[in-house]
Amino acid sequence: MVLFLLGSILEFHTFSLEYFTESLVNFRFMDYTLVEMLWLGKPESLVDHLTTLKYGLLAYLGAFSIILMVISFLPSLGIQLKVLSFVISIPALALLLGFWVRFINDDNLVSRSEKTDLFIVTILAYPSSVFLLWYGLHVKRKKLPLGDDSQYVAFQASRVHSTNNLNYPLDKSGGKEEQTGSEKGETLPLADDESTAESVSSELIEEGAENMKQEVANSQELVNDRVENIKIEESGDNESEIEEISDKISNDDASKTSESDGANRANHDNFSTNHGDEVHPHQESQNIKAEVKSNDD
Amino acid sequence: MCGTIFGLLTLLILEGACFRLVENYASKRLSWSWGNYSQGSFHPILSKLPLDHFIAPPKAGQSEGSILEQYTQENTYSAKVMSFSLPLRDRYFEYLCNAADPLRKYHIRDLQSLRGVITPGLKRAAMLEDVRKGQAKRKGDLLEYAEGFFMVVTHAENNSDYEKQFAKLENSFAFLLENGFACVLVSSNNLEDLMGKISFLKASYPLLAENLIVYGKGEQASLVMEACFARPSFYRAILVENPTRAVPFPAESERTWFLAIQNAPLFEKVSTTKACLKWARKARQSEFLYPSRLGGLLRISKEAESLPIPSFAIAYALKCKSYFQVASMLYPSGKNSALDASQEVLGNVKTKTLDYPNFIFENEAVKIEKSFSKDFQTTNFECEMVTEYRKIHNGDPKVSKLSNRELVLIIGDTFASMGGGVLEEIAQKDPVFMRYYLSLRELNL
Repeated sequence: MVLFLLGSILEFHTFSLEYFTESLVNFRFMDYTLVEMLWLGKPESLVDHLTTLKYGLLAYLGAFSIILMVISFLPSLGIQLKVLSFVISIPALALLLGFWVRFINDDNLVSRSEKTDLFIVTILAYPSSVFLLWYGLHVKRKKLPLGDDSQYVAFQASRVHSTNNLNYPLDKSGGKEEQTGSEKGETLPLADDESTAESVSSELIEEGAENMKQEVANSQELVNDRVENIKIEESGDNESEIEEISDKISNDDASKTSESDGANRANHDNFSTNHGDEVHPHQESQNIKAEVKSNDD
Repeated sequence: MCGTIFGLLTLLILEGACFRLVENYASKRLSWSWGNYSQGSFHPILSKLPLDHFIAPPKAGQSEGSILEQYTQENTYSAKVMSFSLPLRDRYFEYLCNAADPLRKYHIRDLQSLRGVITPGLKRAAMLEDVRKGQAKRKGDLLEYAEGFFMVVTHAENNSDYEKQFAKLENSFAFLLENGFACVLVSSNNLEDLMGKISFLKASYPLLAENLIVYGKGEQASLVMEACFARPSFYRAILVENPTRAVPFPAESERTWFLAIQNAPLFEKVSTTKACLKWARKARQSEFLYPSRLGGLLRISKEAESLPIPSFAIAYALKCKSYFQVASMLYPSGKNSALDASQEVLGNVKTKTLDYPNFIFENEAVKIEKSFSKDFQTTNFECEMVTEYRKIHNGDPKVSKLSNRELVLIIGDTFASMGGGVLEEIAQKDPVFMRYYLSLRELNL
């Protein structure tokens, strides 16, 4: 682009390059030349000034071009913009602060108009550079995707724990202690705290699994007891009664499971998916039914 | 971490910007670093920071480089140690650019041979000492005074040339007048004439010319140095720009500040440059902090700064004036009493032709000091403070038994123990008392 622009300027005589060079050489801000502002030394003659300016600008432009090329290889537009803003902000801030350091330590007199210019430049450049730097360094926090099972479980578990601790139906004393603890003003783990929630949820998952195991064992025992009772008391081949009993058992199981909330369900799902060799209570009742039937046969 | 470093850097630059742009803050920072004028000492904590105020002055044996190198070192030192004056110099620069008809509110008059003296119009009530000296008829009379007297020595071929030069200096004079200086442009091209005018001014208008600062350029700069060599006690400071001749440093000068501004091409005159180096270094030899840092400075003039009087010289003169306004009491010898004794002599000063380097000038300063010591022994230490104290403790037999000298010491010690600038306030209210007290303390009487 720059080459094209310069070429077109030369070709069509849009404006004299000599004039452009002269403007660059004569440019002064607060009595500092462009060469001085870019920390390229203090030129003693015009030739020296021009040479320094030429090589200095070439070096600056070259470095910036390389950086631009590197940025172009970055994966997404967002990252490219961030890196670009960071790359712009650092030299901009360095130039501004460096200029101030030079100005403070130098022995030059400045007029009021020059002070005003300096003020305007600082007011514009400093916040812009700081903003660019902030944008370059800022990383946006990702929101939790609800589709992920494990995170969903963690989220639910932490919510449950923070509301009423429904994951502990068997351990009443523990719940009571927890309640008194909260009454005393002890801090409970907060759901929105990511790390705390994660740790709490992993604990809850484990405990939930243990509870579920116990529930299954209990229900299995119950079913076995009932089946034995039925065998002893009636010892008949009443299929309909057996069906009623098994339905009752399954209803009991369902009513028990309906007591627990979404977290329990989730834990349960999780448990069932993670522990494929274990048997669901409902499935168990169906198995018993089939077993009784075969025995009868 | 990055944020903290960035914040610190920003704070540092903000502080530096305040120091560079805000005059009051720059002066404050200097006084925090160096203490007050009378008891100057480096601040124990601030002195650990790399501030310009704590830069060590170059010494004679320190650098064995060429004269140019030594002068460059001195120039760097001057720029650093006077960095506090940059906001003031900016103000002066701005004032020169914008002031229009600046002398309209000031009174311009001729004091016999001194033509066109401009006074700032400051007045104060006469004190007992003024009456005793004959400067006022009675206590309470209004006396005209100036905080400093800035004399520019030039050479004018004729009247129109003088007027032209005066017009060029108007803005600079106005700036100085606003800061309490009286100003005059003196045309003189020989030492006798110049010495005569200065002696007349010192003898006839001591309240105006108490803090006399003389500026000369070129040939007149050498003339000013010669005049200072002849009678150093007359001057608070001499400011010379591109002197043409080498003048030896006066042996008795214990308090005259010296500033030389030179162009780089003039370094070819090695003898002159060497003499300036010697003047600056000797002028810095002082037991007090401020003169030991600012007493002698050398400066390479900037081509860009083409002002009638360089801003650096103006800032230097103002600092010198502020210092001697407070700290003149530290130099009791050669002050008013000595001046009184010498006034008759000064009326008809006979300067001798200077023949360097074998010139031995008649040492009148020593005579003056001797006469001052005699005066001091016989003085009754009567001053406003003592009189007031006696009035308050009228019925107290203990106080009535004490002599004035003892009372001066007791009261002074009490004020000194209060600290916090009480002594400075007292010095402003009753300078005579302060002078007596410090003199007694100095002499351990």
